[in-house]
Amino acid sequence: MKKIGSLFLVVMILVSCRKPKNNTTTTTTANINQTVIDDIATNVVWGSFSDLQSKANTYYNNIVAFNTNPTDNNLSACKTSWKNMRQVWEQCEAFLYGPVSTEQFDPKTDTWPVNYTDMDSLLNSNYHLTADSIALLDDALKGYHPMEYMLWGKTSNKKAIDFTIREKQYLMALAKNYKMIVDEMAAAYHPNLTNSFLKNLYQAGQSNSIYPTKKSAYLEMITAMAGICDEVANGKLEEPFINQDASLEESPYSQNSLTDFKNNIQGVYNVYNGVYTTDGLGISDWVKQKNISLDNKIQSEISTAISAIQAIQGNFGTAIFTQQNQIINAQQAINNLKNTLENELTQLAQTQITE
Amino acid sequence: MKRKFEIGFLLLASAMLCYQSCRKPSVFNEDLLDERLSGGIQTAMDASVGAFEHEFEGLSASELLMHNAGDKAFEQTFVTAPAKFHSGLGPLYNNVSCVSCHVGDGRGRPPKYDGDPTTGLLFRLSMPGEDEHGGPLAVQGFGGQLQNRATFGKQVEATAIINYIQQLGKYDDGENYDLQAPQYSFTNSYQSMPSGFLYSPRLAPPIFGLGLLEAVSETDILKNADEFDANGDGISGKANYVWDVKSHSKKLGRFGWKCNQPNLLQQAAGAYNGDMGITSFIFPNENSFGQIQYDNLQDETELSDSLLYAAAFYTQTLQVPARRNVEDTKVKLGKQLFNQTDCNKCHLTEMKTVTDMSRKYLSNQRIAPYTDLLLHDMGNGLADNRPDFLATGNEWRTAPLWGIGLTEIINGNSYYLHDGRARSITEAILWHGGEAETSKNKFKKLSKTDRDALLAFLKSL
Repeated sequence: MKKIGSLFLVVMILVSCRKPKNNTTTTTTANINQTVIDDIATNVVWGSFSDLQSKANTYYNNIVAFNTNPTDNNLSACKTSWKNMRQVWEQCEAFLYGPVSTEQFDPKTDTWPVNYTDMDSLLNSNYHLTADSIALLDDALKGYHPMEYMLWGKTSNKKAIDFTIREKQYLMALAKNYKMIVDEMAAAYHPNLTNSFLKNLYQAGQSNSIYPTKKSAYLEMITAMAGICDEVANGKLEEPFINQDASLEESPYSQNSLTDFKNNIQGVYNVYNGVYTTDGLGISDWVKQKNISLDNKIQSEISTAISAIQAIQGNFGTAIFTQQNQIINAQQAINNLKNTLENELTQLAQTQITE
Repeated sequence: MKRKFEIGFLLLASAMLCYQSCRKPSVFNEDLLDERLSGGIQTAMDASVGAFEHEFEGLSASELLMHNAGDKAFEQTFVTAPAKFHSGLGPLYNNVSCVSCHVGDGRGRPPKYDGDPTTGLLFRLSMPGEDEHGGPLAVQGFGGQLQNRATFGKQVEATAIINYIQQLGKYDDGENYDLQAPQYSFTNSYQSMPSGFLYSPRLAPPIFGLGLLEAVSETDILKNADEFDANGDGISGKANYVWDVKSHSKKLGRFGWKCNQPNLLQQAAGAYNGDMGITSFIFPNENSFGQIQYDNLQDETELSDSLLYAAAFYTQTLQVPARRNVEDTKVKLGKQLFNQTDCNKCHLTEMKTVTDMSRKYLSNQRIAPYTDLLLHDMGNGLADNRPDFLATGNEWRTAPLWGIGLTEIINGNSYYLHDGRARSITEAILWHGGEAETSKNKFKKLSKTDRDALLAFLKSL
């Protein structure tokens, strides 16, 4: 799904055929190149994963409270904290590089679809339901979507009284298992730990086997942003819509899919602007120095994409039948952003970063 | 092309008039060769984590749709039947999706611990002898592959245990190195494994550029074969001929660690079946068929023909990442040393795809896969002692080296060779034996500076 390389080839040929222009590179470029990488690594990547860690802890505590005292209020708190975790995670999907990908933390927590057949077998069995024991089970029996199914139920209106003892045990095991995985994932990105993946970003271009150049770090970040746009527009939105089948929806039980999609693009905004809870330099600050109109275009396209998703009303499972224009508009807006990131921004990085 | 000035004016004028329409091909000027273009026109100028995931340029709209459908199929997680979507996982399997092993369309890694479900390493099994097609003979109760995972309520066939034994060595300049030799055993088997069974560990390889390798003509591959070393250079190069299920005939094998698959359609179907327990029209029986854990659901075929074709097409249409730093002095020296140590005798630096006007996107391309797609005796140290069609227990296909320098970026780790025992490219070189023993010894004789240069070259691929 990527055309970055070949487009770059065309650009390279064009550049090589042109007469050289006067060198207008500003003297601050070298400094900002690394500062942008540092700020995104610390403020956005680590900021998000550490926030996810905190929210996973809150979720676990709420599940413990519900298990002890299974009231509707406590169940509601669990659902809210699941959505809060989900908000952070979906934003993280704009930077799925490093251990989250290579160590497969993504499938460990966010596999879709759920293996309902095995889940039924599991709940009907005598299998010991603890965090350690379910760690041995397949990814499709762990993570967000089994937790979602357990919390909301098939018809999205599950009450506290509806939970069986086994379901509560499973929910507890899922929450603890998830918390353990997120702790492990966050540790892999902790800026102060020796083997932190972030060190590769901090040392981009300094005898670094992961990011041998600063350009490679930029391209990584840009590719990841374009990648999540592609997934939202041409996967998450496309599949249920084109098949007219609500059961292909990403988060159907919580009816949280549209929020998921919006947060995916919010993650792009965060990386592009170098902001999460702390504001720093982002790719935008570097683009502004090179091509202010491109920066304006990307900012505008991010904003348009988020607005287009928010223009889809109600829940996505219903919208695929009733709001076709809004969905097509959202797909188009996100694809526009994807194309700009994949083409113009990539070309800018390829041609303007020399270190 | 030399031009003769004595050619008459009229002839010259006529030639000029016809120039555009009847220009004859001239010898390609090597100085104009862009060494970055490992995949010819299908080269991706990307060295990031997505470098192995670029689709071919020049696909038609329908081909692009098929590629994208294959891309999704490649990433799709399968679940236990019955299920509305992506049904049919197992009941015995090694992984739940293609991408689970081929992370980032790159290679898998050996298990981090016994029973690690995220490994990209599996074990082929057989008994001594041959099946009716000359291939490996299946093991009663286990089939041709060990499935180390099972759907809920079923038992895994067995769990592989790997112990590594340190092997110390020395370069000629006195510098020490250490290798790790794997020792395998099997435990937790659902029934006794028969005595004398053979096994072969296989790590998931990268999947980009395969369409270009499939488009190399058989003639071009076979012209490098020298099974009995007639030219006396110590290098054989042997073709494997394997069973093509669709055509019911023997075909040249070119994919898999032992050239044991004839084409990418069968490769994909074999992986769906053996690795995930997903049946298709190529392999309509479950991998557990005939075993006591067979699900007997009568739900075959689980993968539609169109999805299988799409998944195979996806692997046929992935670009090759461009080389980096080709003008770097150290890399250039490394390239010379690569040739001087005769690595290029098997890791061929150039191949050509066929002329195919129906698939212009891969037609007539000069590519640099660094493989000859042939089998070579790699010595006892690497032997699995398990024949696979014509491949003996010592023989392995020359592994393509293109993209090898991006392994760590794509996969976050670097494990090489058929079982991932080599923790670095250097270790992979040092494991070479058999026909490659001389090249390895030449490498060991190099100075540290030259060894580093050779590695810099390999990392530029």
